[in-house]
Amino acid sequence: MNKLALLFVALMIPVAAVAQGSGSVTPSTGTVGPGGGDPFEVTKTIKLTVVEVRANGTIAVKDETGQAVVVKVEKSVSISAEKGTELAGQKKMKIDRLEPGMVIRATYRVSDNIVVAIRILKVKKVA
Amino acid sequence: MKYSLPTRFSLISPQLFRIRGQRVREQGIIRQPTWILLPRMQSIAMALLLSSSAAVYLALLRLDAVNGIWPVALFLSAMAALFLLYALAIRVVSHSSAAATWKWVMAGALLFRLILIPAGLPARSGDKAALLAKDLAGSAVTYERFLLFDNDIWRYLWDGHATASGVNPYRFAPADEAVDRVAEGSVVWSEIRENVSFPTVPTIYPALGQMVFRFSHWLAPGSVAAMKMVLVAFDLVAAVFLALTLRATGQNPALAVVYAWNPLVVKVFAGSGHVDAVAVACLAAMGYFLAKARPGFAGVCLGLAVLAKLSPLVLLPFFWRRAGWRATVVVFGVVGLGYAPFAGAGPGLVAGLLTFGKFWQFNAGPYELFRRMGSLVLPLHSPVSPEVAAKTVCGLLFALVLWRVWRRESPSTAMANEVAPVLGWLLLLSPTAMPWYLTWALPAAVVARQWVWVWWTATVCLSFLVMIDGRERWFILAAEYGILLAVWWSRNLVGKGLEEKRRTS
Repeated sequence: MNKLALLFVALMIPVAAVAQGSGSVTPSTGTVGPGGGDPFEVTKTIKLTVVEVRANGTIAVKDETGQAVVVKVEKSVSISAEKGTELAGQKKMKIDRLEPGMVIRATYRVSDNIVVAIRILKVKKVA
Repeated sequence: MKYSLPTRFSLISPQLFRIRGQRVREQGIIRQPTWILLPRMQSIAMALLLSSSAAVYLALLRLDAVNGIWPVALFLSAMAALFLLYALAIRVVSHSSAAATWKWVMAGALLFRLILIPAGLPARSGDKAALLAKDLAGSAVTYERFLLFDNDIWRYLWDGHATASGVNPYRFAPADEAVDRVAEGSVVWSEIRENVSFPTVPTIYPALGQMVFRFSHWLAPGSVAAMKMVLVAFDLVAAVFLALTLRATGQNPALAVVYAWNPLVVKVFAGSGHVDAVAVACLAAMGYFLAKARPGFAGVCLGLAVLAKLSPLVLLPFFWRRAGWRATVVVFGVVGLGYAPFAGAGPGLVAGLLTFGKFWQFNAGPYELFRRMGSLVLPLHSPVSPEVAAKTVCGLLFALVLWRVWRRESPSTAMANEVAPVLGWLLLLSPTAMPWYLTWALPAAVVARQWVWVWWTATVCLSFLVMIDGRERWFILAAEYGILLAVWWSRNLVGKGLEEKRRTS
């Protein structure tokens, strides 16, 4: 094992060279997963009611306590609808398909509070 | 003067008592007196360490584990404090009688895990008990998607639910339309489905893992807490088998503290709920049955370990050498039986794993080094990619490790001497070294006293820095593996040199 230790040390020496930024190696070590998604992006979900869909990629919503907020929606947002809703089964929906009064479950990125996924829930409420 | 052991101290080797607190001549070496704590002091010290650690674990519950510098810095500070207390606990245990510390070790093991079961519930929620009750009842998803920076548990819940609904999880990925019926109509299951990472990939978890997920589903469908409790039960079984193995090999059973109080182990099993606990329990049981010369039972345990995580397969040649071909056949029999209920998936049984092997890379040490070297050395349109070149070099190095361990060890020593380096090096040379993988080798490392693998459980925490912004950085990897290398160097080369010098003088 001692020889292996020496071998390991010897092999670690070029790290110094790589670490200096020599060559064309990017600083990121290329953490990957299938599908290209970021597995380390912390997201949270929240149940909201749509109040207004705006043209600038934002939607006005209110949460379960009734507090109204405007949230930004990512351009590539994934929108799906539960079975039993009007939009169930539809693919590649844009946010303009949302309507006031719809109850949604929004998944947002915690780092910038941008909504990355929306699920239209079955229960409908009048805004 | 010979130390006479009271009956209640029979758990511990007499050898240990003879060499402590007195000057003895043994095998021509004069040992210097070493300190030993008085029994009352042992209990007080352990009580203090237990309560301090519990306080830090309670503080972890209040951490909102999200991306960003502060959450990650706070998390790492807590882990650093826990590792410091853990090191002190090991120190106390190794200078105490097993009878005085054993109960504290097990009490701490249980308490720390119980504290972290609610980890992942909203940090600022005042009524965690109500949220826990809703989770156990399966009436709502109350845990956050990330539980102390990990989110594998959602896949476990989904797999258990899919199996219970008659869907083969090796055949259908969570995002497949064919399994819509499994989630539709239930807010809880559609939310759990959305929480699964890489939903287009079928499951990678072997058959025993699936059975455990199904069992948890039977206990409390959709409950994160129930799943965690089931996995923590395996984790505690591992601690108990480790203590029994230590006793069977004439060592202090309270040294199970090295596993039972390890902050990474507590975090990954009780805090985040990883299925690796099942494999660790099976491997610890295998070690015990081998120590008790029960190769048949050991074969069953190794088979179960393979069914929980495929990596223990690399131990087969060593197992065969110790336990013989009959016990090895038992291993294959158990694996075959375990996969039988899922055989309908055909090639799908390995589809997820192949995707994992092809795409995943995280916290790689030597592999990343070779990959970078390959990208510098290999021509732009080389038929061999840097990834393939790095995997080949790491594979060859691992073969060398296997050969060295095979040559160095013999069936007369504990199998832990083979399990620890083989599993440890497998991870060290792997493209993916998730922090929870390190638990595989830990019980064996304690029995074999290969502390470098214990050190790695501390340095690997640096890999959580990726949660700041989702990017791995070379200097973090260099620090993690550099510290490990320094520890290894000091223990294997400098330490051995000093020992030899002491012996000759």
